[in-house]
Amino acid sequence: MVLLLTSDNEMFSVAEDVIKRSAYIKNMLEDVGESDLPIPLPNVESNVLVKILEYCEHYRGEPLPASDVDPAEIGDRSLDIADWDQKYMAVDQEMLFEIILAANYLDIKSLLDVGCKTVAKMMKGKSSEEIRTLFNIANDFTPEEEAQIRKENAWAECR
Amino acid sequence: MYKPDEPFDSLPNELLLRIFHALGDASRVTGKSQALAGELVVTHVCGLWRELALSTPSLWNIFQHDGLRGCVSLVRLRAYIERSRNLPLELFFHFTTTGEDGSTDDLEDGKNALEMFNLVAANQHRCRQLHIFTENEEILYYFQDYFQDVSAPMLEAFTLCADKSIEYVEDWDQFEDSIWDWDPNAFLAGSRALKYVRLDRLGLNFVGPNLKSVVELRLEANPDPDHLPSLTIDYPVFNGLLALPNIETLSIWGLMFEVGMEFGAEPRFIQAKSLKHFRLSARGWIGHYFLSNVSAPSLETITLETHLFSARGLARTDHFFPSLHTLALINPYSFPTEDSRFLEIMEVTRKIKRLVMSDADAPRTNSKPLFLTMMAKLGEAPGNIWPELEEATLSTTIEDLENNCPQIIQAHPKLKRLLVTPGCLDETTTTRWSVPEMVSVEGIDKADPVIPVYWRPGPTSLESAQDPFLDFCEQNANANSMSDAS
Repeated sequence: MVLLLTSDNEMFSVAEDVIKRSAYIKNMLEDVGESDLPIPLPNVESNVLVKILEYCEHYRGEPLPASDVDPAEIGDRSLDIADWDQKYMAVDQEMLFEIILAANYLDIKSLLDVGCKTVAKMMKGKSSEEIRTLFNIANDFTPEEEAQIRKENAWAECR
Repeated sequence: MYKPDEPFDSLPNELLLRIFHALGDASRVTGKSQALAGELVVTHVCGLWRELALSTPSLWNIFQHDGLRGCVSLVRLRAYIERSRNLPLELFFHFTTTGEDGSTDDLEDGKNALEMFNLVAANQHRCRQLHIFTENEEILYYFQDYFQDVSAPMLEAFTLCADKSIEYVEDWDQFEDSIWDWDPNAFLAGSRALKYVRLDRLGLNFVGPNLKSVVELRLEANPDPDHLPSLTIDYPVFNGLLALPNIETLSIWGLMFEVGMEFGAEPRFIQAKSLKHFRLSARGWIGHYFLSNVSAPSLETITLETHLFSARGLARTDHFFPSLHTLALINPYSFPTEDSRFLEIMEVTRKIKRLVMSDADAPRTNSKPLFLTMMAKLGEAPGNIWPELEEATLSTTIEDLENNCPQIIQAHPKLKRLLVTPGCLDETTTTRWSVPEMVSVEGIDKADPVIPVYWRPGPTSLESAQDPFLDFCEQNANANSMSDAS
């Protein structure tokens, strides 16, 4: 078992083959060897780690991707997301972004890929204004940029 | 850490870019959307996103033009070329002469093409992919003008499909209707990296890139307008394609070629030393000629769609393909009285380990009589038909499977996996069919292509590059599913 200590000081005891989906933890275990000391995760809160472990548990036993293989770099350019992953990602916006950040920190590339695709899917087909509203983003363009954007909007008619 | 009021502010730039790339790719795959491409939308959201996107060349090296009538994408193309800096370009052009109101304007579309080809030709040294689909035959002439003598040192994938414009060609006779040789007439200053080439009838008539480096050649008449004239191909040209030094996959779809009976008179074996995959959907004698007269020591798979099993039979059956492990037969067609010719196919393919048979009693092909004969042959005594068979995929109706699968399993002691139409699987199937323990009977997963190889046009797949062989397998699977439901 591997001990993990989250940023809010909660301790988790996790099976090694489950958490090894995280390349970060896997490398750490290989470098440090067996230890009774917990691995601190200062960037991950306990509620997020619970969710991350749910993902790792689901894919337990499936072959680990090569550490340098990133789904985004091997030609998987569609926004296709497996059914289970879609349900897993049906969370509020806050948790979605926390999962992405944690997947990035823990180096779980497949989860990071699913997270980014989920956000892209939320944006797909929306106008820039709709995206601003969806994610509470301020329009801070200068007048010059606004003028350029108006020109570029005409490209939509040409696709 | 996450900032609830401004969620994207919590993401580092590398993750933002990852999302931008995913959005850009997705908006290209959808093809016909009226909306701006994803990479453009993100530059219109806020200053940070705009700055980040504009300074990331990899967001801009794929350009897609779905040309509406009278619409000039030149400014956008120029912006993409500049923003992508020195990255290899992947360019997709779809020129249509039909506007949304159904009207046509060849002149405006031609202007579009001229201006864009001019820009592309000036940047040809950066092109990794160039795909052109057009419904306007004038564009073929422009292409010849601009690309005949250029060098395309990075070009890996090239498409020129113009068959839809045949309907606009008033005088077909102006085009050559025979192909007697393959003289290169495009990229004459060099295209040594070219690996993937896709041409339809008109494209082939206008453009002949040097094929020496080509690994995958896809020739097709698609759509397949029966009333339109087809090209004829002299069989030395076909022999030349088979003997290309690097070709691994040769795929021919539709009424691309018509060949005469004299094909069968070729007395010698044609060497196809590199060929690994042969895919054919064509009536006439090409299939017979290939099976009779081609020596392909590396050939691993054969996919035949609507292959005509005729009374003539194969010229020779005293050979086989030693490396062949997979045979896929989609909607096999026969005149009712000539089913015995199927045995010849079995003879030259006798070493296969994997069989795919896909059929849905499609009215177009009248394939059912032959399909049932094949199923019955498969169930004959052990060792007669494909004795090495380890995996069989049978996409057909439940009734056909119920009538034949038990015998097929018994006749193939090496069979390990049987994939069948999902609707016929229930708790009693393995008992009813007397399935030995070592055989796994599974439903065909619609998400997995059943055919051994299918068209991968390169790193970016677009809906417009849909593989017709795969299309037919999916149509059969859907038809069989519907019959299950009923």
